[in-house]
Amino acid sequence: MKKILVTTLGVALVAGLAWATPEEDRLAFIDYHKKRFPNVAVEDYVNGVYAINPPAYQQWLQIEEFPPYELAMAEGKELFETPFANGKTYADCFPNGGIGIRQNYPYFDAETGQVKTIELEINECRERNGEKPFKYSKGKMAAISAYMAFTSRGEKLNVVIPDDPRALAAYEDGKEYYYSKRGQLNFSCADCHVASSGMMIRADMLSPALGHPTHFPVYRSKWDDMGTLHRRFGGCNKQVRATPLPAQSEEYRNLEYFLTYMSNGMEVNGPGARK
Amino acid sequence: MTRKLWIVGAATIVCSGLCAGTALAADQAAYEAACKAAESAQKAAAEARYEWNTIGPLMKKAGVAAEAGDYDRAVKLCDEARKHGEAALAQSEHEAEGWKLSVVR
Repeated sequence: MKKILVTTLGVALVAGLAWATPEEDRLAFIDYHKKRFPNVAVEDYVNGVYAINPPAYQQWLQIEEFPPYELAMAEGKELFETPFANGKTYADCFPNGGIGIRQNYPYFDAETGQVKTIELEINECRERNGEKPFKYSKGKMAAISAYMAFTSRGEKLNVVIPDDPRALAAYEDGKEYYYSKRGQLNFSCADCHVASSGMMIRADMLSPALGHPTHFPVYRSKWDDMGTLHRRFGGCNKQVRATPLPAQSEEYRNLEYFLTYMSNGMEVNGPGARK
Repeated sequence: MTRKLWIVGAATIVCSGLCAGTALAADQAAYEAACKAAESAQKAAAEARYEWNTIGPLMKKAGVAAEAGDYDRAVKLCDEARKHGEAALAQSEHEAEGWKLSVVR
């Protein structure tokens, strides 16, 4: 009897540890970062690792004088404005003609019961208009997404979790993914970007989780190319020796939902340039 | 008596040598069985969405070794791949609750 009671209490305690409302999670997330990096203003986390690494910040400012994502952004603008074969454009698929809307993504779509990302909707728009979908991680998809992010610079992330148990479940799934250890190295996203943020991993400093989604898509020097947030998710999974999931899989979209909610209220400053 | 002991001893040594040889030399059938077990473990880990990216390369190396006729190495590599699959599945079972301990509160 005593054993059962202790076990029940233990299970209840562990379950209770993870349970909080999304807003409680967000506030705890910000508080954690404030304590970890007391000299960094919350709004500066939109700059990723450069917010906590002053020498790298100076180098990054110089890179931003001739941004490596500029060509992709120009390509994205052209693609965005070029009509499909049926004469319609991306502007016909999105609110406000697709301009200045990045801050509202991802969102929970009550009709499908799924989290929708901006990249998912770009392809849905293409398919609705008789065009072939783009691949999700890079190339033209990253270019259009970069242009749409650029038109939203300065807008504050406003991810909404509506009063719908399916939306909360999607958020919780994303949260579980973020904190779950995986791969042969047995690392979670949080192990690197929460518990170890600011520490060195070989020659690189681990970036803090707060503000991560604000600057995507990014031009990454390592890739010598543009990439979407889901390309980066896949890269992180590979680095801990886990098999990455497909970009825009339900798990990655839910992960984006959770992670972006953590940065709610922060300014969109994508596309970005990273090492 | 001494002669009898010598004969029994010699027979034991010869037999154990032969038996050990039989047990150690893997053949194609042993490779296929080890490979099948590894594939099964890999599939279970993938279904749990916890597959490790080490499994595929190990099995690929095992295939190369088998093609070269080195079944001992091929079986060893498949066994390792299977263990990685089993460990990934165990990780998924552990993390079903374990993740909650890391949440920022």
